[in-house]
Amino acid sequence: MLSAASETNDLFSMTAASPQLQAYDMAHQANKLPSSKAEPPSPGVQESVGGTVTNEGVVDFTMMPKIIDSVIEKHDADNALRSTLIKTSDSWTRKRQENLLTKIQSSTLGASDIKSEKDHAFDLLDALSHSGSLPISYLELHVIIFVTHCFEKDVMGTVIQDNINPIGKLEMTALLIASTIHGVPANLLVCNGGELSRLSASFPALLEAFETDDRVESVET
Amino acid sequence: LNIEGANGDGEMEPIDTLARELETTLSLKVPLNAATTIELKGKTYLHGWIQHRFQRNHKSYNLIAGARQFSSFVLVFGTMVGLAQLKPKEAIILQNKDEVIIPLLLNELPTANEFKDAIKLLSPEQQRFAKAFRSMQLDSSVFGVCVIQIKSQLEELLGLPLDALTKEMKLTQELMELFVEYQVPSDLLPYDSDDENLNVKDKVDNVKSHVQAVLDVIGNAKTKQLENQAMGAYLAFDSYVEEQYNSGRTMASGYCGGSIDSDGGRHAFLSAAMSKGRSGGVRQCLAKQMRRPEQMRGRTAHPPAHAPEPRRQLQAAPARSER
Repeated sequence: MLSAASETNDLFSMTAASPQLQAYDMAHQANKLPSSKAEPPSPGVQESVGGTVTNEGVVDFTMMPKIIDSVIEKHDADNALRSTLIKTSDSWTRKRQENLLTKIQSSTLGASDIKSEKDHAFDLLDALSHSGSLPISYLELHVIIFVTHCFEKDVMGTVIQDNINPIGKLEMTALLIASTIHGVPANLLVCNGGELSRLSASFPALLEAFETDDRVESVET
Repeated sequence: LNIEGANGDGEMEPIDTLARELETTLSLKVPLNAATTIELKGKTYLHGWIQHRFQRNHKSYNLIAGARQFSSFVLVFGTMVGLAQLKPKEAIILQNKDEVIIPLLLNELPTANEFKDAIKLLSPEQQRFAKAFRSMQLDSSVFGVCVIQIKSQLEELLGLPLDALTKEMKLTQELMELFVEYQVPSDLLPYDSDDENLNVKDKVDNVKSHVQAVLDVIGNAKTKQLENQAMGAYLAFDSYVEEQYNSGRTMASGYCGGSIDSDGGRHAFLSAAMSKGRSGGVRQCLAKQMRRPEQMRGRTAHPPAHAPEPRRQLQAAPARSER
């Protein structure tokens, strides 16, 4: 499915099976720990891993951009992170093999073709779901939140003229977004102690707010 | 299914995302139209996609989806709205080695600080409007892609055991054709035997019989429609030939010595038209007209004994055109 390489570099180990994350999840769900989100959840809604979950167990993904926006506003002093809208173009390309003996042919789908394909797909979904009475169970849903880190100058200009380390800035961005996506403090995402201390020195506001040892101890008790 | 972007060398490669599988049981509503809303229950993955750019160098990204031979799925994508609701923008069925490449359009929103600076000088009412507008923009920035497996859902719909349709390619194709092309109600096709001890093959055969019954009805309707259209075409052509013949009867009869009867002159006209017909379609149509069985024309198919010889009929045509 979506090529979801969870590890952008060696710094992070963000697997769900991480003992620290599991312990944090348990404590978080039991409301033993304060939330790491910037916005307080609305009544009837509790923040959970990777989004907000209401008391009925319904996930509200629309809260995610607002949470990310507030986290960016709090931690991104350079004003470089932008939430980004994703839309699809009106012109698609389709490669199709009419039958097993013919060659694959490429064709362009215009707006009317896309509309026709959509109608066909909806007709099939209508039938598969018995007009909505039968839930569709065999599926995967991928929810994507897109953030762009913008540097005003080119690489040399950013490093020399602006005196900015773009790799360090991107590390901070990755920590911010990963922390929001996984719903855990950023310091729990870094396994290597040496890297944690280095990152804490670079981004004190992001990492020093949480003390790993205290977290783990409180979870264990 | 993947999203690809151009790297520094211009080659397309998959993007990296920060991904997490949500453990909560998803119950997502997808409105297909005003009357129908489907409910989706399945695995959910949350992806954080971070892109960086220097200056104004915007990269292009494509959503690429492909199906293997004899496999199929529905791809639905749109934006997440409200509580667990996906507003579908587009959808497409992919099957049998189909591959679709969908370019993605990216629209960067201003940063939170930029936005605050921009609205600082506005009136409170305008600020409220701007904030509400930005909130709506942020809401619509959550992109959802849903992959729905058709075969598995068909098995559930038809009351068949899991994987019963895995090797039934023809049946699967027929089912999809019935649902997509003919919008056949799904009530007509499920397994409906009362015998609980039937094995998988018998259950599939039961469904096959239902499918064949519906296909027979459709086939009969097609045949009847074809016959009606052919009959209409014959009748229209018949009246056209009659009209043309009547208008040129005097000329043809004058050339033939005024001794031909109605059917003979008609035959001469058709032969002449065949020899002078510009397109093959006209010739075929005329040939059919001449070969039509007697019961369809309602008169004798062959010219009477005193009709002119075919050679003479063919010679009559130039006389008409010369005149």
